[in-house]
Amino acid sequence: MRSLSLSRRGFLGLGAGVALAATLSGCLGTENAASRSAGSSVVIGLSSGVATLDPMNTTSVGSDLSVLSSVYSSLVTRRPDLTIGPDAATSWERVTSERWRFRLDEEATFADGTPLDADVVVWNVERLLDPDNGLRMTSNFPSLLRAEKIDAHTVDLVTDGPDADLLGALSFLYLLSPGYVEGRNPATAAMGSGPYEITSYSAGGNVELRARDDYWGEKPDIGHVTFRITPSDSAGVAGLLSGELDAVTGLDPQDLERLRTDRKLNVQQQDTSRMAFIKLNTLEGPMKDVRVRRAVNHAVDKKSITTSLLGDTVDPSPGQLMTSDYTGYSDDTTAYAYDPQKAKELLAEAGYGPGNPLQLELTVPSGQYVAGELIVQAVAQQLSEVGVRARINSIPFTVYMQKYLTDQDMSDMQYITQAWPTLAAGGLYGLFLSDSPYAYWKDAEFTDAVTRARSEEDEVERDRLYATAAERARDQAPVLFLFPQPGIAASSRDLTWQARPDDWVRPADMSWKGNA
Amino acid sequence: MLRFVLRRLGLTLVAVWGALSAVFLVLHSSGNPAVMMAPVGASEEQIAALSRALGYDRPLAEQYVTFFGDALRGQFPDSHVFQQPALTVVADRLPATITLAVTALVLACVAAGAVGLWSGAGMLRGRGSGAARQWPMGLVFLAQSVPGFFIGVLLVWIFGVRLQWLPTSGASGAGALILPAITLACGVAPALARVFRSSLTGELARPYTRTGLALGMRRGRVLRHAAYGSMLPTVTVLGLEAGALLGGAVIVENVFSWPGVGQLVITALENEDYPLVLADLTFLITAFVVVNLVVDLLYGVLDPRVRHSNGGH
Repeated sequence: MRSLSLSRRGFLGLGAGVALAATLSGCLGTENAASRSAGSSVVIGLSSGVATLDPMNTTSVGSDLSVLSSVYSSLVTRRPDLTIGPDAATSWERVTSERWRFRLDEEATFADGTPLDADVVVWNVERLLDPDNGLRMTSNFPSLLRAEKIDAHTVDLVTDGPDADLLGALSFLYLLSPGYVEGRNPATAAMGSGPYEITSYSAGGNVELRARDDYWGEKPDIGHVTFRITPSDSAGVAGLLSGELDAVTGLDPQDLERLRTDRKLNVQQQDTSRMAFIKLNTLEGPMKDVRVRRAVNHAVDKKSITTSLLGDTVDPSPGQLMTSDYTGYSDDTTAYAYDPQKAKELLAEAGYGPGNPLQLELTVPSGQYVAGELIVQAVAQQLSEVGVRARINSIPFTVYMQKYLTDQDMSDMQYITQAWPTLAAGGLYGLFLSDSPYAYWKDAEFTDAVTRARSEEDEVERDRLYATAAERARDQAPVLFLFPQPGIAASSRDLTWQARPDDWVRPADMSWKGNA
Repeated sequence: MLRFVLRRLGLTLVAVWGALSAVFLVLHSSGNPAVMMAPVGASEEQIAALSRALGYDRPLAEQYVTFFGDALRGQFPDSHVFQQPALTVVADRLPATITLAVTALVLACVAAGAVGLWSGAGMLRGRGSGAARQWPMGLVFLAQSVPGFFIGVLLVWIFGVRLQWLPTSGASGAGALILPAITLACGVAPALARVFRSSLTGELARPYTRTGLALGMRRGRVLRHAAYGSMLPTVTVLGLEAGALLGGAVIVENVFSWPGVGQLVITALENEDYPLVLADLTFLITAFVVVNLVVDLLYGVLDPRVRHSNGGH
């Protein structure tokens, strides 16, 4: 009896399997770029999932904020050419050195029809600045004190002293609807005043957007957007090659050749606003000596590294801590020339030589940065040619951050890339001020120049101070200067889209050729 | 029977507790997530305040007791990254993983059954060693020797990029299920096929087969009896392989960007999202142990001798 029932179950199972296979085979075939072009939809690959829908509680430009910038609007926006342009505010002026006045677009409304007016801005600034909310965006607004309503469509932002970086920071401040947030969790429910609304979202999963019919600003060309999460590099590349994905940013230089040979794709490469360098611990050990810091800078041939490991996508930095995208960047500095002989002389002056070789530890977080471990090996190899023995220590990023920030126990050298999301020199240089846990460098001259520049109203004087700081940093070498992190993006050939150096991926900037 | 079930249940709880404790200790000794969560440029005070708010400044023993106290009541703290209850995030991903795992298991059973029965039928006809009967086992050995992530990438390359028949990643539509399910099944099917085939061959060599055939029983019916006789070792392996299925799901979900709990746990680990890692692993560990429990119990049903020997202690 038992054997019969089991076999019957077996047959049922077999039948179910056959039925399943038949169902699946009915769904064969994938959508391609041509059919999406006709329907004005686009599929964008993101390397990490959208963690939260609360735009004030994230600083991830490449994922969370890129998606949310389509759903919410900000007072001002950073355009693809990196200049600041209008969004919900049509115009703005500096009333006094500590007060900015913004005139809001009177047409601006949220998707549910409520107006985006001065009260909304005041509420949002209060939410941002309330320390009890513990929002991650708050630290980008160190000087902001409050917002004051002037009339229904005019609002003043008051700062504690002049803040030249306020506009850049405001391009990150996305405005929520006070009425909608009431009784909802903004991390999981979003209703904004931007060109798109969310039609599908699950934590860390794909996100789908639809263009709003009643959008008050300029209507985007793309009607439907799917952000597909492809965490592995290979998934992004395979999706591009198979035509499932229309645009992907942050690709690995090692995939460059494969993507370039595909004629359906348009590959774009540029410097990102993220600078790679090897931080030197100037507080203890051999790197206290500026001659040793200069020696390692002379000992490394950065050009050969970018050529061999990064496919010639970037050029070595001219002795700068930040890229030219930042406000306050000065292009007066020159790079340390590749000069092994000079490096050996400097090391000899500092007391190191064949009898007493300099021994260092060089830390790199495993799998965190584009080609990080390869770059570190190349650097160690070149250092060994001038008699410096660098021991590579590859550790998980979490342990690395713990040692770097909490324990204040950084090794002699560590590979790192740094960027400041608002592209303000004052922000990025803040990571090198004497009292910053990020710095491992106490330099009064640099700290003084940056501190003064941050509150300087006159742009010419401000830039002069930042130039002084840049020159000082180049001279004192708190880092082994390397190069900007390469930004490689690929998109369907028929898609008009300019990839950006600052990680933003905005479907409103895209359009299909011949569709517009 | 009741004592047997209770004993197994008790052991299961101990296993879950042990595994979770190990995960908890390893996780919490690898750093403070507040450092990762704080925005770039945060001061030491800000990091310390965040650490306090999340409870990571307390002694490890205290955190451990709190965690298990909450977990016993089915509560996990909010995910750091997703800012919502960790269990909700895991539950959102569950259907995707279950769909993938069940499909793969069905595929593996069908494949293993087909390979075993094909060999068995050949043996009954007295054609055991011909090439025609051997090639399915060749395929099985191939699938067993090649690691799952490689099969996955290979399938993506052939069917996704070259032929463009199937999606390369994601979970959009049933078509997207095919490649990950096949990849996952490739990790489970070989062991299953080998055990089923060898025990079926053993059964067919036993006297009752000859008797049945001599009495004029149809070959199909003999095969059915023999297949039932070889269920016990096969189900054992199936239980063990169900564990491999969960482990394989972590890899396959990442290769195919399949939005399940396996992909989630990797993301959570990368982000130092401890509550999410623990909630996710609680599910994976529990699933693994429960599957083994079910197999143990099934054992008792399939073979009463097991029930009596174990229950008698």
